[in-house]
Amino acid sequence: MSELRKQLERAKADYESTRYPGDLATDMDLLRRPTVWRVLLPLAPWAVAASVLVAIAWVWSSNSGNDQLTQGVQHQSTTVPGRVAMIFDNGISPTTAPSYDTPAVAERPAAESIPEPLSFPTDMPSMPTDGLSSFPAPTAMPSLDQLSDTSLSEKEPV
Amino acid sequence: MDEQTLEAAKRGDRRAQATLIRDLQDVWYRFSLSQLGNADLAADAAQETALRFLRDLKSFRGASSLKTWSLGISINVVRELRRKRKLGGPGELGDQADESPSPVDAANTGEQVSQLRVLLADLPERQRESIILRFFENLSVDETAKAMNVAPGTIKATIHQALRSLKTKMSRGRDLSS
Repeated sequence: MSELRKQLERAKADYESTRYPGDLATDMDLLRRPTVWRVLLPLAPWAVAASVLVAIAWVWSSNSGNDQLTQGVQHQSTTVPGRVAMIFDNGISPTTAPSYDTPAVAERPAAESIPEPLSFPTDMPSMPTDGLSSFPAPTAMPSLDQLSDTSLSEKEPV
Repeated sequence: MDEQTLEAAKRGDRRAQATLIRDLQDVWYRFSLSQLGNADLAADAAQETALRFLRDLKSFRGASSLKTWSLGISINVVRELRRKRKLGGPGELGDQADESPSPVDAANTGEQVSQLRVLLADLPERQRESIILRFFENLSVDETAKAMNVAPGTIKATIHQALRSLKTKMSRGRDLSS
């Protein structure tokens, strides 16, 4: 074997002993397990958008429920002899439960609580007292009886 | 390296890809180090080779061995890196070349391996590549030709020129030392 061959063989052994310093697969992030954040972070904008939509839908549905209550569209009432109760079928219970022992008719407020009407002043004359109060007498009109007697005698031939 | 692992890696199985890369990482690194002469640059070249290897793995049809095919990628990466950094041979900068200052000094100290390494560094790029692939990576002439994307006859001629140049330089070094 020539000297060059021998040296090539020795250099080959040296060459083959060279190793990559580390793990190339790990360096390239091939084997790292996906963490929770790696999965969740890309989903964050969608989660925010979804929660906003849910909030809008919830507000809208609650407003439409109030409208039904005020309009009284689907209210139903059942009457029990001697008792009156309102039952709402929209699932919203009244804020105060009706008492069956008290009458459902509203009581008239006491008369004392109504203020007296203003009384007309008695010390003030209802008619003016100065000279202007005497009106001139109207001109005398001829009597119809008299007019009929004279006209008949003139027009009707005897 | 079995066929199942290769197919799984082609389908994108990360474990299979990691297995392939672990099998080939030393090949890419030591080839890059022999061409660039710098450990950091060689590590960068190995990583870039791995990236392109995974990117192009689906196009691998098995016309040559996976090692030969991947060495073709590594050759391109090293050439691009050398061109980008305007490097000459591995002797210009390098951890290996720094250990032995010149072929004459290496011969005088009797460090034949270091001497040969320096002599290889002085070879033209194509001759150095063909010697490394043919004699150090044990590729056949055809495999070396496929990896370097040239005809087998060209490889034979290139290797012949490289060996003759090495012989001449070695005998010149012996003459100088004696």
